[in-house]
Amino acid sequence: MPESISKKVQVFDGAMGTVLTADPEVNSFLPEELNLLFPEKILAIHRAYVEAGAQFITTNTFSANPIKLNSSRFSLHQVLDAAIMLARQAAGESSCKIMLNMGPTGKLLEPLGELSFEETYENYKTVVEYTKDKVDGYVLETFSDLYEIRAAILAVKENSALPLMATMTFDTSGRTLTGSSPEIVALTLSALGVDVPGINCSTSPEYLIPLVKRMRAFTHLPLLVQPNKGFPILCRGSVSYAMSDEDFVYYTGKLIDAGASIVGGCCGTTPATIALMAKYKSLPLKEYAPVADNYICSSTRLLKLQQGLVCGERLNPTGKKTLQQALLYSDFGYLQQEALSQQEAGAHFLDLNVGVPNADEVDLLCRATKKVQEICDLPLQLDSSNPEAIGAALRVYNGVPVINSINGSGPVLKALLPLLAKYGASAVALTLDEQGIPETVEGRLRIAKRIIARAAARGINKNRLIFDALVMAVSSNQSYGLLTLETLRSLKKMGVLTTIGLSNVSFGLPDRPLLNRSFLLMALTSGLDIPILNPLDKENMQSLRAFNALSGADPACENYISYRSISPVQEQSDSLYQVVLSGLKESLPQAMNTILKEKEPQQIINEDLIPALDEVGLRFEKKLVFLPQLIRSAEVARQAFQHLGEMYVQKTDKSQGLVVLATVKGDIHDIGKNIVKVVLESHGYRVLDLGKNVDTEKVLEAYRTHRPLAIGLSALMTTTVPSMSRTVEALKALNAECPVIVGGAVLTGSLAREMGADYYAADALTAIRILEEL
Amino acid sequence: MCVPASLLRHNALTYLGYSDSDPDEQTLVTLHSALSHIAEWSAYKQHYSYLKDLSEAPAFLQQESYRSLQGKLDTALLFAATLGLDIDRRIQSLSLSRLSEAVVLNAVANVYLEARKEMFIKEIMPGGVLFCPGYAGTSPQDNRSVLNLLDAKKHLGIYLKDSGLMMPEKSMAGIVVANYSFSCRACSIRSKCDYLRQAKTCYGKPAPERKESRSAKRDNTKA
Repeated sequence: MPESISKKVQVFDGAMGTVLTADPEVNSFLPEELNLLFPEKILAIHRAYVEAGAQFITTNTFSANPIKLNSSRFSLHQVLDAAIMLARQAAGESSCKIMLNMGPTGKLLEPLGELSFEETYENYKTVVEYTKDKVDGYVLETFSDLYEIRAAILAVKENSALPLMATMTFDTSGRTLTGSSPEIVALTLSALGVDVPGINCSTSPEYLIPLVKRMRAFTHLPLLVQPNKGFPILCRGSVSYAMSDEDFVYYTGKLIDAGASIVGGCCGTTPATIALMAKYKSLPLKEYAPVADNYICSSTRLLKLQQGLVCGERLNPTGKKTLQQALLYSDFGYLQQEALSQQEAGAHFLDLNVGVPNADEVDLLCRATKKVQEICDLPLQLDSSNPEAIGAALRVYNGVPVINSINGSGPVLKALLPLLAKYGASAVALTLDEQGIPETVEGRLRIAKRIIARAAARGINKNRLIFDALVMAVSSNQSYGLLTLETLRSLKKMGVLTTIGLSNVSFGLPDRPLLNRSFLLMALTSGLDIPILNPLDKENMQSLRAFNALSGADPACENYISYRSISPVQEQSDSLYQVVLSGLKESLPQAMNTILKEKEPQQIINEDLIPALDEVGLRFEKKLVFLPQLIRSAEVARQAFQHLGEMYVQKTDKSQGLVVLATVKGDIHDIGKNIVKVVLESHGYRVLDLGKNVDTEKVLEAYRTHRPLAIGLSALMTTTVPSMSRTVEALKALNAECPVIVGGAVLTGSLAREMGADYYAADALTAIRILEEL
Repeated sequence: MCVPASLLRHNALTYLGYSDSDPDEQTLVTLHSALSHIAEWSAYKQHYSYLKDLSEAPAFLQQESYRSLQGKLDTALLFAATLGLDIDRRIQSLSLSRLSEAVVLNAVANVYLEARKEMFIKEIMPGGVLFCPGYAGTSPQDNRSVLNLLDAKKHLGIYLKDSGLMMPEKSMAGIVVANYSFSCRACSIRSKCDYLRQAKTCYGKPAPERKESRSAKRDNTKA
């Protein structure tokens, strides 16, 4: 990108579509086909923009990509060649730069839609590979999904060295359609190495002024801003824009004051607009202050790395059999629940580790990253000792994450620093190296300094590193605790952020929670900024909140007060039967404690849990209780089963059997399926939940692997019934021995019969009855 | 403009099945919380265009299944609305951690979208109704035409998936027409209508003919 861009205001061209739709001879064709059908018209528009003073013109290729051009009479190469040639012809010998324009695919990416991240990447890669020696740069514009523009950015950056501009659209609420704020867009696009991020289309220019200011606070890069000329008005088949060129140009001046460096126009603008705007050309730009680079984000949540945060440690299968099993069977529901419970408990971001023996960690970490991001908006800390897994997960992560971890070892730095630089991520930096963990403070600091120097050489500021002072078990050497505390104090003097994995300190000693809690407070007073801990440990969290209030890390004690103002839930002393019947989740622990003193687990199941559930079912059928109450009872019963299972039932294998559940391909409504899942689990069945939008093949694979007691399929819409039908047929063709139960809002017994399903269940309790009869 | 809370509450309770009964206290607390926050948690947006302002009449409206709308299209308008993706995400997350609350919020979101649509129609075409593709034997796939004509992807962020589902999930699209009343008599799928077999109608009124309803029985057993 020319250096002058950061020094002086530059002018881009305006709309192509607006000019074309005003021409009745061409407005019924695909705009990209006009490069071949009416080249003289496209050339004339380009020339008009060059003559108006535009320093960049964009090719007429907004939809010229394999996905959007698949029904065209012309090939992608024909369209691209013609479009580029026309732009070049128009630029002639002027200094005007030719930017290849790429718009969104028009499809939604997974998990909301059907297009995969890799398919999206390949779509743009095809275009870039063909054009990289033909244009001066690329402009991605009018994207409304951060994930899609991320795939397109990687396609450009990994397949060409040309300058890249990337702009997104925002609605009147100041967010993209998928919920990203201007700060998150600026942070993510800058982190990925875009040369010029920005805003285009969106709303009227006056609405963009605050958005430009907000982006400016999160990037030092030049900003491209191309607004619409006000709001469109549709009348008698034609679209017009109420704003005058003069007003548009006035607001453009305000946008430059707010931080825009390159200005142009989107819908409604014409060469006449750009001619007026050319007066801003070469206006000197202000020096923009360096921006903070210690932020991370998901697609909808921004987080400043600083003292007082908590990183949740529970998305880690080490020592957790249930999570290990769930990951091995690609049942991500458990992982998602763990993520949500940590979020509710107050974690600010979550460590994600999927290191399970015999699993493909590269694939698993990618899928787990997507699954957690699907339901939880906290930023993630991608945790693996395998650089390949880290690289793959960084690629699919939506936002800017932390990685866990780098250390002072040469090979590790060589493998991971390039990844940090490429994706703009932050990292946990362990103060160890090839020689192991130094047993002196000086040794650990030497490594920290080496990491900082090597990172700086890659353009990575130390603000993006969180140094782990390393905790070892005091049971093996009592000086280890003090060594960690002294290391923390010394690291803080270097002006870096610090972390520790708390629980190692108590390994091998009794009453570990007490030791962990005490050491947490000692570490916090020694300079620990961001502990990695279990946020569900209430006492740890209380200590942390109190420390933050007392140390000033919680301004005005706001978090502490808001936490304390939530009145503690009054625990009632109801019987377990009553607790399940009334769905009193908060009373469950006490009821379980009481009943476990009196009865054996199997007795509790037979005499209390099952009768209570039967009674709820009866009342539901008599319309004495309704769906919310039924589910609450089922949720409480499920928790009780889990508690008993953890304690005893595993040994006796009293599970009722495994049921596979899935919402069929094409359908993303899964509340109904989730209700069935909770009710089945509350009755002691194990459930393998394949999720929503599930391919037939995945259901068949689950059958082959697990030979379940039954398979349950759900569909909500008439349009997805054929998909359910295909899955049922495929199971029958496989001679599946287990029955297929179908359900969902649009199904009836006759439809179920027609598609060959064995049973139709109108609701969750019917499913239980069917299973009991099997 | 606000939707009356009492209306939302009544409609949400009906949606959840409590038409003749009182909910328990916990459900009421959950419902109250959802009702208090629904406007804040959702990002209601709507977009419309009079048919007369389109460059040509939409082809799908010429189909036989839309016969009941003929003669009412001069003043009709295409309409789409959504609550945005945030509410979908919130329901999705809740359904994993507190499913009963998710069910209540889902109901509140549905009735809120419906109520906002009704407010719009009351303002722009008093007495009008929204006829959605999928009603009365029309194809749900015609939603694609409605959304394309409104450029709903750009204006509202509504995508239509290959399966015909709209994203965000809490979205609706259709044609607002005046002086229209739903009736089974003119419906082209009357003879094979599952609603009628169950003595119901797709527009929430009792089925007109009892003899068809007798054969309708929910089959909960072996399919």
